[in-house]
Amino acid sequence: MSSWRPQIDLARLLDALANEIVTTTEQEVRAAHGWDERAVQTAAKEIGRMIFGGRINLDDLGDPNETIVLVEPTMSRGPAHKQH
Amino acid sequence: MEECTERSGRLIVAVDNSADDVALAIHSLSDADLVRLKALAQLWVRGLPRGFSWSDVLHEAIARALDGSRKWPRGIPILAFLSGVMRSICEDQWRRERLEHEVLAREVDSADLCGIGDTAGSTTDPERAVGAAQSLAAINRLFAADPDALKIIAGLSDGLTAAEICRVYGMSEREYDTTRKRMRRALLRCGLDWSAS
Repeated sequence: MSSWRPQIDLARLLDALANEIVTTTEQEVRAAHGWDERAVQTAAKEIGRMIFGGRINLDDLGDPNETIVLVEPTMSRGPAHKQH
Repeated sequence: MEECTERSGRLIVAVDNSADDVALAIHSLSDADLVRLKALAQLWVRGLPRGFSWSDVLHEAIARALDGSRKWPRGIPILAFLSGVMRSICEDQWRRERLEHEVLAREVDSADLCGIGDTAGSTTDPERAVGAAQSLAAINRLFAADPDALKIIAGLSDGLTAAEICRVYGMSEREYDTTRKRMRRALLRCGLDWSAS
């Protein structure tokens, strides 16, 4: 019987790949998007909209002292919405 | 929160950043940071039970950082901190799944249907193992066209260091570094969302 525990392998791999992503440079992000600044901005806006729940336009986030309204937690409320 | 540690007779004070610091740091993320944040969420969602999206794990990580349930230690980059929060969310979620299975099994057991309560612990680990195997397969598929990347993936999964991977798979240091760069670009460009598998 195999003693392979894929969750251990996955945990190691996710740790290592997360570290790779954390240590990427701005240049590497741009290179990953073909040096297309607009592609980077589009990708960033998508995540920005997601973070701010569409309630704040990232283009308007010029003042770092303004109150930020972030979306509420989604995973702690009710059961997981499975998509099997 | 402040933590005091005495080391070599000197008092060392470690101070966590406040929730306001977290909000300000998120507010100040550059476009490249946001792209990296998404790539991290797409990565960590692979460690969650199937059915969650990268936005779920990212929302939760930010919420925990802002409500103070996860403290941001001084000196840790915000992306590394949020990555760590997402990592712990994965563990919490599997723990919750396991508890739900155990409660369910106990209810069945107390009804004296077939006494499957004894196997409650063992019913959840296989589920996690299957999910992990699927995630590993998805990660392998992302790099299927890059044999050197697959070697590094295999090595990292085995917990090998860079030097060990080079030695085991006969890679030069330069080959290793260029392959890692390709992998980083793939992670940033394609991500590892469930919808992509």
